[in-house]
Amino acid sequence: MASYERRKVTLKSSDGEEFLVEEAVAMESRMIRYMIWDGLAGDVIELPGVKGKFLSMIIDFCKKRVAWAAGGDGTLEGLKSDFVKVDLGTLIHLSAASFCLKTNDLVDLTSQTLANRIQGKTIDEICRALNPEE
Amino acid sequence: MKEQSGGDLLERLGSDLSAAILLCLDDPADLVRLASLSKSWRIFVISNGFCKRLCLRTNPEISCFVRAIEVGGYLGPNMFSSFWSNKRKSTLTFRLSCKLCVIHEIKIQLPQAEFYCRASKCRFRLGHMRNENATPEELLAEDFIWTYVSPEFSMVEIGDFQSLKLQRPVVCIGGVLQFELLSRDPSDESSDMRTLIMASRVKAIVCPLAPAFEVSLLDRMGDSILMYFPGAIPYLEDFFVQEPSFSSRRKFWRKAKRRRKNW
Repeated sequence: MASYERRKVTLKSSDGEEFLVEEAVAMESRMIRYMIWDGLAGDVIELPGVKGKFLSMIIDFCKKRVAWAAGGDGTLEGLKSDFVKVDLGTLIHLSAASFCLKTNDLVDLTSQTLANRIQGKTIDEICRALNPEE
Repeated sequence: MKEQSGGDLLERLGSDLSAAILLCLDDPADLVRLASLSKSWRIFVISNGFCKRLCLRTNPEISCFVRAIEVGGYLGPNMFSSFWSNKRKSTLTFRLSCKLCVIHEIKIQLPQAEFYCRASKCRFRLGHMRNENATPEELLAEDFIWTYVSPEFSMVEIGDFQSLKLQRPVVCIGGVLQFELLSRDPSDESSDMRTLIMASRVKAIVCPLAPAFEVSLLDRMGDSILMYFPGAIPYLEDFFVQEPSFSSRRKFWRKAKRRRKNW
């Protein structure tokens, strides 16, 4: 097993929360992956566009995904459907965070989930569907 | 109130997320509804070309349009007779009465059981002629530009019309439909296939886009201009069935030469 898979890296959110994760998990984010490959990542990688609450959820998904890819239980579809079982406001924030981190499959997943909420709806229903305050 | 909430919604989602959501939609009606939420949504949808992108995704044959122009007034409907062109031994080529239309279904009827034994499959092509003024006798295979080629359909019914179900409606650009019977024996070049194709009946269920839209063929490579006549929208017709008559061929070309109509 390559040694880089055991290395750990610290991710720091916009509100100061720090998460120590394996490099393989962190590299699920293309943005972090390219930083590491290009040698631009220090001991702590700062992510000013992502709050701790949502970074934690994305890290959790990435850990489960890496474990699944290594032969773990469950299905990828199951992991994805659990990830989007959240309220609308959280879903919008998760989508924005996925954009920031360039985790493309999460961008596709959250965008498609939001699109499903407005397909076939009237204008008023679209406003209600995409308004987290209602 | 709705205008304000629509604009706030776009700002809250952000342009990246909004674009990602719109790209996931596969019904143009949903895009139109989003564009009517507010002025800012309308600008966002139009300036980023989401409707055009969706149309290209669902109907890639329209990629031959290099430009779209809006024209005041409108042309009257062009109702031309169809003709049969039989230069190819197992193909039947004819013109629809609309140069630009959407085809939803093709129906074919083979005349007799013994003919059915020779033809196992069929397919059709949509497109236009490189030279609009060419006569059927002059046409060769390379004189056509095909914007759509259908998959092969198995011939299963005898006597009644068999429906060739399309996976999606297809835009016919240029008004030429070529129907081809595929022999069970690929090396079969007998005259029976010619007889079979001439005796077959073909119907097309079309939705004309004229007179609101017309196509102007630019060059011999197939690039075209889409012309839009907003004043003609109320005159769009519903579906109708096109079935060219056998006797129309010679009559059509005599009339065409006399009229010198410009397609």
